[in-house]
Amino acid sequence: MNRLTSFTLGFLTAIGGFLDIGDIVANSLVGARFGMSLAWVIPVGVIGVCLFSEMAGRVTAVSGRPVFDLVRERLGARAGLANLLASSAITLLVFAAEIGGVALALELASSVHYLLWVPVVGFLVWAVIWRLPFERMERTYGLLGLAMVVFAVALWRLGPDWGALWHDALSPAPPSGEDWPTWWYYAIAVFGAAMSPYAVVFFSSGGVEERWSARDLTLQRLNVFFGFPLGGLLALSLMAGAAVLLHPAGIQVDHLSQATLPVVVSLGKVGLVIAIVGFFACTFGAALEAGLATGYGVAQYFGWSWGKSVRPVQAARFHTLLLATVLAGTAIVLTTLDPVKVTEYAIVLSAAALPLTYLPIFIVANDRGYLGDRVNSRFTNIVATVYLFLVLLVAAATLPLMLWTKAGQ
Amino acid sequence: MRRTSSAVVALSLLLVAGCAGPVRTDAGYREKANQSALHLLSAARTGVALADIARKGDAFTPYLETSVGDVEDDALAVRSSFATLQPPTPVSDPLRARVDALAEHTTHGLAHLRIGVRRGDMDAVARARAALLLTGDRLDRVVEGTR
Repeated sequence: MNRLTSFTLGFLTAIGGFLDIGDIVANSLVGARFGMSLAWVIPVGVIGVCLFSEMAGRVTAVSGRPVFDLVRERLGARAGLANLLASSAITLLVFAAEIGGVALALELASSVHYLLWVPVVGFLVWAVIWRLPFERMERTYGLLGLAMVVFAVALWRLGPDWGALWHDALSPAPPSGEDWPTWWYYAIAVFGAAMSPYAVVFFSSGGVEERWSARDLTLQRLNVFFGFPLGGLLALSLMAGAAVLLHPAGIQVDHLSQATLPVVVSLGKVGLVIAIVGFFACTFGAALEAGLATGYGVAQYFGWSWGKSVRPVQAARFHTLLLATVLAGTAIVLTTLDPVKVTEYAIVLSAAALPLTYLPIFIVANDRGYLGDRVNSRFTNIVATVYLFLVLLVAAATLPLMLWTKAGQ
Repeated sequence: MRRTSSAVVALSLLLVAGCAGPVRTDAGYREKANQSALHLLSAARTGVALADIARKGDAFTPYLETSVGDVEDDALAVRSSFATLQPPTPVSDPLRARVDALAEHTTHGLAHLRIGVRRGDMDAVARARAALLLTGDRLDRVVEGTR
């Protein structure tokens, strides 16, 4: 019974915790602007994130060490440092975007300007990281994130022509008035949002916090292979809701408030309250994950004592770093940079840095010295190789497309 | 180190050039007008949707105030940004006048909607909706005409 409860909770947490501000913005924006023509990117991204999260989880469960600890050991200090610098910089940007997202959700509920909420959110993030036990923290925000199911309900209530939606989804080409480079640029944004590198760092380090062992592998795989795809369905409903309501009206998504329109139009006040709770939970949960991921990455690279389960006095540098991360993320949002724009850049730059995260995971997951007979199967290696080519292609195309399309204008 | 700095400078220049290049041709001006009209259209149509929501009582006032304020700020930014663009030849003058007028109508419509929402004055909301609907249709024609 305990195992069943643990599976159910982990599974629901994986669904609810899948979305973050990047997914919310990217999928709503793309649905409003390109209809369902980029829907195919979501399953491509979800399969990729499942594949590499499973690898990272397996490495942690079998070796008892987080994957990026092993990356430094296996690939050396220089390669580890390149990985650390790129992923930390982008994770910090994502962290700032998530803080901005929480503040925007609170602004929608209160009409108090989001900049006034930013310091409060920064403090709350730090307080939760400092006080709440790891498992309770992960479960609370993951389960609350299930409120985003309201977007699937809203889509159903909007009564779309399902055949037309399906037809659009199977027509991967830019709609009239849009060009191919811009379409590809936003494909990269959706892909980057689905395959966020910080989530894998957090997943792997979280495994150590929760003391996974080889016995937990089945449970971990079930969560990844069933929970993440169902989370992906929520991303798809965000896109479809925007495609049904906003795309025909010519409404573009530049604000979180516009992303809520499908829910408010179809479900009224009740839907609005649930959507705001969902936004809050997703962005707050992701802020905790991104903040911790920064601390985990740096502490693991330098070999410091780390972890929420370790008493602060024994992991002083780790906790100081977390505090500095929270202050830096808060400061970035307080510069008055538009959080939605920060999110757009964060997910696109994440896409550019994907190989730095996923290639080392692939190498470590094939090392018998760490994993014994639990290294990648031939099938996993074939699929992962295809994905590594894909992420390399995406990384090479991101900056030229960003310049060519003037960041998707 | 020097090579890295040069690359960063070159990349920054490219980004700046890509984001804020001057308009030298009528075709370029049409493209800018098209982009401005698209953003204004989005703001006007968001205003119409929010007015419908307000009239049905489907949302709380803080949400409506924030949402209308967001798109009003967008429309004001587009309006002032478009106004700073110099039409390269007299051929573009009518387009400038048309988009400029519609930008003004959009910002005024959204301002009236915001005031109506704050006061709970549904008649004012309905009037703002009608104005925004009309402006939206005109913007739609500009968007189509400048493609």
